Amino acid sequence: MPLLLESAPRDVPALAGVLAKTASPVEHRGFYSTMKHKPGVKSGGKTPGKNADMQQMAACIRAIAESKDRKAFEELFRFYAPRLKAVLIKGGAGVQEAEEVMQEAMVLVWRKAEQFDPAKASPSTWIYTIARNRRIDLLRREKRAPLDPEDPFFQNISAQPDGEQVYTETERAKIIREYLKTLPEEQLLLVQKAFYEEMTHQAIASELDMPLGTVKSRLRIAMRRLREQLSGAEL
Amino acid sequence: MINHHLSDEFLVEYANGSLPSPESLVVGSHLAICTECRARVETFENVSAVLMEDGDLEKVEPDALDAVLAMIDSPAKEDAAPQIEFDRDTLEVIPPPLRDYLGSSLSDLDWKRTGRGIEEASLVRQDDVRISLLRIRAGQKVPLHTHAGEEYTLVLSGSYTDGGARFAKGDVSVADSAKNHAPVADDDGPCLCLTVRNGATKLTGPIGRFLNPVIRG
Repeated sequence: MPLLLESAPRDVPALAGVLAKTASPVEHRGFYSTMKHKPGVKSGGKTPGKNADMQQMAACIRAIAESKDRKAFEELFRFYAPRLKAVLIKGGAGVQEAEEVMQEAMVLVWRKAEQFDPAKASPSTWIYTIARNRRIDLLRREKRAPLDPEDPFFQNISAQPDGEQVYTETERAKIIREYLKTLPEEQLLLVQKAFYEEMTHQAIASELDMPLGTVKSRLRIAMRRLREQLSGAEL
Repeated sequence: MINHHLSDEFLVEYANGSLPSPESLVVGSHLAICTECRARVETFENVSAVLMEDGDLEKVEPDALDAVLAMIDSPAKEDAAPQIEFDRDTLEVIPPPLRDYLGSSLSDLDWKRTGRGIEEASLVRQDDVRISLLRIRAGQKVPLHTHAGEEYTLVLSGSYTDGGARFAKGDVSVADSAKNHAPVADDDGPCLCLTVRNGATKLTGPIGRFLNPVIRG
């Protein structure tokens, strides 16, 4: 029987409140302006390019699936391991815990490589969800697994979303990236808190000293607009 | 056709992993049935992935890659939990995320009569959380009731009507103590629901989450 109730322990980063105040809307209006550390700051050495070539990442996963290619795995590891660890820490894991979850997630990337379908997920989304599920498994003892289309449950229900996606996974990532750039500072901050720092709406509201309803409605609006863009609707 | 979905706030917290387990169970089970909400969650995961890609780097342990390669070489640990053999009916009716909470097939659960035409199989009772399956006889009216905390109901088979709204397979209702409700199972057959009742612990704000049925903007 799965254990219940405890949500993942998280210490609300005290820094973020400060950051919100220091972010200057004129000077820093951009993607990273409200983040604690800009990319690369912590790594010390050379960093892989920020917009990695996703075709290449997908090719690496395929090479692992087809020929257990360790060089390909190393390439994936170098790109994703530091990023996963950063996300895990943002999401409330301790440094040691984050390292552990990251390592186990990368092992799963190796083992599950055959299940990767580039038509259904970008390499980043696929790897992100593996790490998130692993974190949930470990911290919460709640199992999360992708839905299996062969499961008898889906004989009358689609295991796939309705219809075709308008854009490929690569295009979707590009649209999302462009969309985030257009967001006003305060909305971008909320999106980062929810989707990067993995905070609850309540925690965001407390940290930013904002009514809960405002957090919810702003995120809802931001995501609705994003969905419109992803559906190919003219804005 | 699902008419009563979960609002974005649940889906966002489900996608980022911050939603507590009982609520996650409701969301995960709804997603198994609802392709529309599943697509939303996938979009949220896409956003997280883009932010991760463009995000910070945290130095990993110097031997991390070697450690991972070593783990790859050792055989995968077998899942320790024994697999339960569910019967066909259970597999078709119980969404995969909910199966972990069942110790046996539906017909072998410990069903207790809790009212006229109503049976309940308790899956979890822990602190102030109650997770149960409810089986309501066709046409049966469930007595007017309220709960101390929140109550989530997901229809697994059959349907019921509550306050003029019909809830069928995949539909979710989120109710709190401020709302009286008096569901009546529809006449076409018994209605099986997952209910998650959360005590008075979740004080998340004066309004918002309690709007029910949740209407999307």
